[in-house]
Amino acid sequence: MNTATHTLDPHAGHAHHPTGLMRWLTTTNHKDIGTMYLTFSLLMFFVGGAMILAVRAELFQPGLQLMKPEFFNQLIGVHALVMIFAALMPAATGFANWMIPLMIGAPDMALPRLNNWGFWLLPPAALLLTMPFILALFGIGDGAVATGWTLYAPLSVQGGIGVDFAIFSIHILGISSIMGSINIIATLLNMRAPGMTLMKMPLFCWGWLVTAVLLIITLPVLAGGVTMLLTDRHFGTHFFDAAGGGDPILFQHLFWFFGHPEVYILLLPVWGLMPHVLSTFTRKPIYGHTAQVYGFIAIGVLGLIVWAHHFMTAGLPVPALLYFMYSTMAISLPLAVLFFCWIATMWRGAMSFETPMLFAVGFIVLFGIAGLTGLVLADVAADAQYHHSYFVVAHFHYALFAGGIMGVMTGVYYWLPKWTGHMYSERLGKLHFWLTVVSFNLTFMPQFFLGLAGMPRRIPDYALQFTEFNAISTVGAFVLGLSQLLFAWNIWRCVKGGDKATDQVWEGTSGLEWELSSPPPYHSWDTQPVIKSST
Amino acid sequence: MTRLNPRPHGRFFAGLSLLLATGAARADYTWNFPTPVTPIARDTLNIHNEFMVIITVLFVVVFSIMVYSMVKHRKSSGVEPATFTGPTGAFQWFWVLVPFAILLFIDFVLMGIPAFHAVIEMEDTRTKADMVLKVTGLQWKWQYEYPDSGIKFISTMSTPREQIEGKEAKGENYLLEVDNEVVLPVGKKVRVLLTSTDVIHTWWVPQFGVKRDAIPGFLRETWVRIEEPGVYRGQCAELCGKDHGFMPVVVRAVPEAEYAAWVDKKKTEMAAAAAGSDRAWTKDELMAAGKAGYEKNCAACHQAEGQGLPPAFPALAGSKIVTGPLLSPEGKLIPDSHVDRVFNGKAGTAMQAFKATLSDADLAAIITYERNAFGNNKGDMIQPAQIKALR
Amino acid sequence: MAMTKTEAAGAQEWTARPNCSLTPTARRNLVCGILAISLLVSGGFLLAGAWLVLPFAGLELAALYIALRALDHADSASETIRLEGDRLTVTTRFLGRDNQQSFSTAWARVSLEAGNAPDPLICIRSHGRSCQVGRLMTPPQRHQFFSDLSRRLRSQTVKPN
Ligand code: HEM
Ligand SMILES: [Cu+2]
Ligand SMILES: [Cu+2]
Repeated sequence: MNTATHTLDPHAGHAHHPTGLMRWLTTTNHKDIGTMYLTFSLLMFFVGGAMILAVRAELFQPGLQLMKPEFFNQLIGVHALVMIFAALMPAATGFANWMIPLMIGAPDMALPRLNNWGFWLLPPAALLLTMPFILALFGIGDGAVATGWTLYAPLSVQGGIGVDFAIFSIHILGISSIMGSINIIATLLNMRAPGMTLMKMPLFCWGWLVTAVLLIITLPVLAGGVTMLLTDRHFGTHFFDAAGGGDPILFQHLFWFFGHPEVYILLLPVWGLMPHVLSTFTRKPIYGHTAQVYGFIAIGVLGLIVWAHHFMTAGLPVPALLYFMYSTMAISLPLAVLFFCWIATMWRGAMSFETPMLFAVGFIVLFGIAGLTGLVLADVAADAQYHHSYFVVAHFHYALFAGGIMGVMTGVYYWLPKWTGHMYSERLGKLHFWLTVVSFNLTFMPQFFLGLAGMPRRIPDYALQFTEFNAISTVGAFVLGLSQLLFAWNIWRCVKGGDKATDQVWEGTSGLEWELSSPPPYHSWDTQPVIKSST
Repeated sequence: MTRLNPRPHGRFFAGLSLLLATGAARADYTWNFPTPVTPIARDTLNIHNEFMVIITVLFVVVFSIMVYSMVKHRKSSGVEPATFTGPTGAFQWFWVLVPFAILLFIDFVLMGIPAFHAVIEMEDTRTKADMVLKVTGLQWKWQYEYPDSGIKFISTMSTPREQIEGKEAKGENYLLEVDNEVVLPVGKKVRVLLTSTDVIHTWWVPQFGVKRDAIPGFLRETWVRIEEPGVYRGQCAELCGKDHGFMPVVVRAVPEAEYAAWVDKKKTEMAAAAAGSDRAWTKDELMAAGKAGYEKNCAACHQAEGQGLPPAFPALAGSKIVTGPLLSPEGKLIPDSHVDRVFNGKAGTAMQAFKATLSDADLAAIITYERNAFGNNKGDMIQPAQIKALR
Repeated sequence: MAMTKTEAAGAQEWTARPNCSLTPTARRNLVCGILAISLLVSGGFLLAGAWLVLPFAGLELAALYIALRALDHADSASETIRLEGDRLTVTTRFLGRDNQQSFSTAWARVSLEAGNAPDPLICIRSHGRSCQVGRLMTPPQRHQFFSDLSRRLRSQTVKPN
């Protein structure tokens, strides 16, 4: 008698997928890829952090103590590129890979093979970016890119091989981001469970949809810009060289046409995540789902038309200055919609403050400071004073550390039990939160005052009236950096073991992703769920 | 966030400052913009103060509501969560829209209107301008030019390396001091034209409230009217390479009569320098002047001992170019020779065309010095008059 | 989830296809929309002298288009169950792989069995062979189909032949 059972498993053979290194190299499973993105991101977070701690150590006191200015300039630029492209973006992409299929009831991402390539481009890109540091040790070249992350021409035309490495690295990172974006767009548009109309799509997915579209619109501009830089450097073109009929400011337009939307690209996924967390820990439905969707779209659109507020001292004509000033101020309106909805979601809920909720609240308050200082930066006349000073450094760290990184931490604590099946240590989590918030403010609040007092950014040494605030900032930075070891330790412990997490994990959750087991099966939705019309 | 009145001697972080008792000069920190000395800076400070009040109020109001909710609506106090997901009814819609109307008003009226006037004023560089100052950024110094009187000089940081490296106590104006200060008359509207010869620099004096980029190949402008005599210090604000942190701007504002006297003195000095290119110099004279000139203009990159910082900044000691022939037999410039490099720089690198900024005597002295120092002993020399002929 | 049922003389066929929330029209609109914005942006930069943006935008849009076309391939998955005479034929197509099994209506047994998913699948067995269908159906469709199929099979077996 024939005893073989013929299963019609669509993923036939999933029981014998490769193990060990090959599993990770070849995996097309959205959870594996999500895990790889997140691990890579955490690693690079520490790499970028170590670089900037060296910088802060140098700035602890006036005078040059630890490094030469050339090396200082390399560290600040590579720090920013690593944090933006190798820590924050991959973290958001990791979230997307893990959560989007779970949230919309899809078995995997729409284009799993593409997904694998997208991830595996990242490590070589990060390597390219940092390799010149190592090459310099062997006497090859003069170190990494030393122009700041903005790569302004003609300084970058003049720079050493570090610039070429950075250009290639940016190209590869760009290709990876495009692959990720295309995949996310395809997944969100095509793989939603029946009954999940676009408007019913969870806000995290919406945030990512807008991010992905922004990436698709702006990345060719960055790619074009850095390629023009490359041809100016090596092939005799004069795009950015006035002597040959070019214009250095053209590079700034190209860079910031990408660079401004980039800051929203980094934050939209986090804005999408916040309402889920708030709703969970207030045990109350999300307030203003539709308003937030339109808020995301409005921010995306406005984000595309305000780029020149990053170089208002470059001598733009007056009408342009006025236009960029008022359009920038207009961004505060959709941002205010988000703030309104977050606070209204909390209003009259039944709140409890587990670690993710603490991070969410910390995010809202500190990101509020970023938005409010952004509003004053928009004023052209006052910006003449703020621009390229430490005030701007403080502003964008409130946006990107408190907004971006703390938002990512919110997500990690929120979803970690779902991913691993274990609860993390709440005690360590809370300790991590308080250390982070306090030392973050200790690090960056003084930088506002430094900027007001007239300290330019990107200088390795400073005049004596800046001493006290710099010293405080450095102390804060070291506490901030070291506290992040707690974060890594807590994650590690949670991956290894811990109390069993329930499927629902938190009392107040709602959404498809919480219907699966914790951790979810290797293939999430083997069968198709439906969205009941009530949700 | 910000005190409205600058408080120069706050003792707020006194405890932490103890950490800093390292023997450095006792420094003053401030919580706000430094005292403004131009109409623009005063305007900017007022606007900034107003904005800080507005955003502080917004911050406090919004987050008070949130904190109230966090205290009141806790699970531990046994409340039942509400279930609303949006405004319902005209009344609620009205209250939801009010904050946005207020924000719209703040953005475009409360902040937007003063901002508009400030921009118009700041960009009006030409109306009733009394004089012009041309500023050229170079890696890593500023060149100032007074087209009205033909005065032209370079201003370089004068803080000694020993202070930077911590071998000497730091002076009061550490990093914010220069060899040649720009002198400007008080009460005059000065139109400042900016450009650069290499990369983008940004000219910034906080107390003037202006900051403007100096862009190679383009002319940008701004203006200042200094209301009070004094010395005002600022820095380059755009990352411009290795010594970006070491190119200060120092402006001395003086009463008009004193300014006129200074102009005369400068003119006499310039005449003396011009005369210098016509007489014959001895080699010792050239070597002495050359050492001083080298340390000021060249040592930042090629280093005091000519060892350079390869690969970006090549060594001059034993360099093929420096030890190559001086001029062609007919006394002409040899392409890519030592003199050509110093004269015309090298495109695409930090090496600039010094013929634009240095005098004949300086060029002759520096070239002679480089050929006979750091173990280079060519034994030849070049006279200022020869330089003059090459221009 | 598209679930279709066709009836012809003496034969029934149920076909389930995956849910494609992106309709061809929506896909066209999406690509055209992004194309328009990209052209606007790269055209603007072209006029400003930065013509190198255009080829990158073109490459990227091509990639987007190809990726969306590739979805068609994934969308071709299907489950077809055909009941004709005394044969019950199950054809499934996943990732371009076809699989067909045929059962005799007289011996086939259908049941609902839980796999590793929260909702049970429909299991058809006969003589030690078995197959599962219903992956491409929503739970209500699955229940509907299950009761449909079992009713048909019952009526076939009791019908005198
Ligand atoms: C109402 C909201 C905001 C407004 C009006 C605003 C406005 C501005 C302006 C005018 C500047 C240029 C300042 C200068 O260089 O002089 C700036 C810099 C910056 N902003 Fe914002 N901002 C806002 C929110 C944000 C957010 C949400 C982010 C991050 C996601 C962000 C990230 C940055 C970054 C990274 C820079 C500096 C980049 C650099 O120069 O390297 N900002 N912002
Ligand atoms: Cu921006
Ligand atoms: Cu500079």
